[in-house]
Amino acid sequence: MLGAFLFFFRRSRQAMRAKQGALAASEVAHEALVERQQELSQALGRLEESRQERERLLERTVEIAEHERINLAGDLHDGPIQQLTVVALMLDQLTGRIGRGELDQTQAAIAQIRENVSGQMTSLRGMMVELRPPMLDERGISAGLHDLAESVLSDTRLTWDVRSTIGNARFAPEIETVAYRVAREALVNTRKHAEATDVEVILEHDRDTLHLVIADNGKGFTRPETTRTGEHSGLLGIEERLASIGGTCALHTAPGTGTRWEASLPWKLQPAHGRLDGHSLVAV
Amino acid sequence: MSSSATTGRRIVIVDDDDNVRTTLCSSLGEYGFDVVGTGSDGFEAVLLAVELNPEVMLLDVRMPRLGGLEAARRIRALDASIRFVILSAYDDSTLQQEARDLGASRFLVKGCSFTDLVEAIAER
Repeated sequence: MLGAFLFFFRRSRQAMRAKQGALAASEVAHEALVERQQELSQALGRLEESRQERERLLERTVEIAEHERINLAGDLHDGPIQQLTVVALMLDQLTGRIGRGELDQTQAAIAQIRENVSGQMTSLRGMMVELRPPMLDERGISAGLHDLAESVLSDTRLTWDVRSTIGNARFAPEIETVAYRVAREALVNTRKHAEATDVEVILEHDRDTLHLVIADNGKGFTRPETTRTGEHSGLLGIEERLASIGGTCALHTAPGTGTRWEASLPWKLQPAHGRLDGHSLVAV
Repeated sequence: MSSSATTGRRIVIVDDDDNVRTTLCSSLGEYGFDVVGTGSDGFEAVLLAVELNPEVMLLDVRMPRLGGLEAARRIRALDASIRFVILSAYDDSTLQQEARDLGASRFLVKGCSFTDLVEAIAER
């Protein structure tokens, strides 16, 4: 009787232990599942953040393009259209004078018209270069920056130095274009606002990043809390242009200390952009 | 050089481009119009309308501070007798309709012939 009791007692205890074991295993599995779910949830969160960031960059890129179109339309309106209007009026006026036999001023009027046409060709050429600097296509960013400094600063008292260690290396067009436009924005800011005497442009690269520095010894300024104002739209433009290719910009400035822009452009983004391969830093 | 339709007709020219304004002034003056005033934005247009009471105002559309169409609207509210000729860089049907709605007698696109311009200003 006692033996039978002990037998069933042991069987029962074994069964209970087995159940406890199964329960513990189930809890471990559940914890692992919860942990996995958390990991998945975090991964999904990161994916969503990444999607939102891409969306934001796309929006910014569209904004920049729209802003540039507005500027271009304004430049066309205020420049060539007005001056061609003047030329048309002067030609009509000249026709009238010739018709009336008033020939004494015709030569001067023709010279004036010729001067206006030349002025407009210069203006249109400037806009064409602004849209797509030919130097970038022909000789790359290093030569492009030399030309840029010359065109933006040559009629000022500023002395400038463009130092490039990249030689004739070429990068994907979008990388070179962003570097060029960032440099242009910074140099125009220096020219307009910095009251500097010296400015230097430095271009270097390492294995995956193109580094661009524009530094002046001007009056500097207090970095604004927000760049989304008209006054600091140039700063915003620089940040957005860089963000559009995954680049960044550090601005070092304060009143009396000059201004230093340090832009980093990840040139190995090229495969994602479907351009060249990951080793496309080509000496030509 | 001029006709009775143009001689002495008092006009005001408003355009923000100095070169356009000067050339219009010279051409129309040479043709016999009496250019009594010039301005470079819509606010000046309103002031000139009040001060000079011209017969015709030649207005550009896109100008700083205040555009030509809005200036015409304000002037119209003050004085219904002034005629407007709009001279714009934009060949745009919406702007043309807006100009017509304001009672502008003509909408010309910059680059039009001088004859068209003279006719537009001279018509009564």
